[in-house]
Amino acid sequence: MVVGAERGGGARKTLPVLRRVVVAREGVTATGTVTAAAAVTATGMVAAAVTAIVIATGRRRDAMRHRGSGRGGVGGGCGEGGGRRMIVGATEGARSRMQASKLRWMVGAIVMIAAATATAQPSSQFLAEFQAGTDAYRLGQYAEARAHLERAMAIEPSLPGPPRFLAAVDAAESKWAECVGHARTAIIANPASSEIAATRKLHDDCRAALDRPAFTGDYADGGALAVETNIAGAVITIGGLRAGASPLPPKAMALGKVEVTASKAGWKTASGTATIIPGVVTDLELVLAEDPATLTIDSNPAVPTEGWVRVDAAAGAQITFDGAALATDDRGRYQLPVGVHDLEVTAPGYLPYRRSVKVERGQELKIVVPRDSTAGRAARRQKGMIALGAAAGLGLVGTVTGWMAFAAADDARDWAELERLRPTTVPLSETLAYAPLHTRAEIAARADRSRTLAIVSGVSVVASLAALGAGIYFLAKLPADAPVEIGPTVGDGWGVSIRGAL
Amino acid sequence: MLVSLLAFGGCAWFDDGAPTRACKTNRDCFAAQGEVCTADGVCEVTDAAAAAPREVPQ
Repeated sequence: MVVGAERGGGARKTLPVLRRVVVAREGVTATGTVTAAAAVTATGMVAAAVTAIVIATGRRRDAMRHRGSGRGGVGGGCGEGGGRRMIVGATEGARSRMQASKLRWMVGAIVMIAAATATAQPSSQFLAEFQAGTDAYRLGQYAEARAHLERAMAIEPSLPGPPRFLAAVDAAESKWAECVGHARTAIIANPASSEIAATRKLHDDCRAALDRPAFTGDYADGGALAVETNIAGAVITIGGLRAGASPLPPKAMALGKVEVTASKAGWKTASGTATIIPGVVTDLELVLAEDPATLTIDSNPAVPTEGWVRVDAAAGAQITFDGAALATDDRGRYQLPVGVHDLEVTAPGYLPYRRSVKVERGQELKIVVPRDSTAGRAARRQKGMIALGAAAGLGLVGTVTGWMAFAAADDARDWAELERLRPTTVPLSETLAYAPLHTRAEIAARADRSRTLAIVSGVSVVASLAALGAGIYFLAKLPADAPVEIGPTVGDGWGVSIRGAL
Repeated sequence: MLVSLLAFGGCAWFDDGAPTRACKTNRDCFAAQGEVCTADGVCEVTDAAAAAPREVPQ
């Protein structure tokens, strides 16, 4: 059976209700109708019967020999003839006893082998799960297949069938890394399996899907090892011997565990252990960590041709440069060519923000976008309108009361002047017809009223001015231009770049 | 407009005070009401002033 070819295609057919459960895999043959206990019992019965027959045959032969000698029993008789017959009889008896003993040992061995074989027979539960898993796989029911096969593997972890089928399920679901892992498990479980070729092919196909290089040499009786590192150019040693630089293509390797190290200047040495299995490539990935204690001096650093912009905006903001959304680098910066760019920032609940940004070569700009929300602006506008309204009202009050104060003061002055000019040669009653009489008390009262109205007018005017200022502040407040922080220019032209701790 | 109105109203705060009783001559007082300018320079109403003949040219 070629697992790879049976990747669920064309196998959607109704299974027969009654079927003989036969799993001819990996040297394990079981028939569902024959239990292990019955096999042991049958073998034991046969062995016992054979032993009994052998023993009975031996004794009968001994008895016949002794009867023919005229003597009974072993050890009887005298004289040379009798002695010879005794020796012959004893020899024959010993020989038959030896044969019986051998047969007993053979029977015992057969019984033990049968018992061991019976013990090695997989349980019915495993068979049920395994069969259900393979059936589900062929029907394309990969989730169900995976569940059955994983249970089967848990029951019998030493058998390669479940992991091999799990690898096929992984491949069907494009889970290439898991496929490689399960295929390795199947190969390790039984490298001499009748399905090993298909398992290896599945393993290699899944590796190829991961874009890993294939092994083009001869495995002989071993395997192969490939090494990758997170940084290229690391020196790879295998078993203490230098093997090349990463990424290291598959190299033929003897079976077993090997120690692998990867080292590079400026990075901490990484090491790992790989277990080489037969007929496939074992992949090992080592991660090197940067060594901050190392000082690296580059006398010819690359000249930057672009600059960077870092934008600090509200969460969820959409940031575009020249109308296009860009991706940030690993430091959260936007890399842009030198020149002027239009930055636009929009976020839900916030006012859109636009400005021009000038990017210099090798320079990093940081722009903090004001968090001017639409709700905040509406509230501010409302406050401004209220303040302006109050300013207008207070101003009106101040104006009216001021006018009234002026009028009252004029009345008091006019009355006083009138009374000073009222002639004394004309009877008072006659002058009253032209101008009413105003006593000093009335004039003083009018003057007091003028003073009071003036105070009210003054206070209203001051309050109105304050409200006017507040209204102008709330309505005319514009978001401050975003502060821009400019980082130092990074090198230009010839120079030395130093990286690391001093 | 608002500023001019406010300025108008504000000026009321600095208006002159009420007429006082200070005087130098009888003409500074309310003679028709019987006030005369006393030696202290204050307009006061007196009975004599109320009974004084009218100042007529004839």
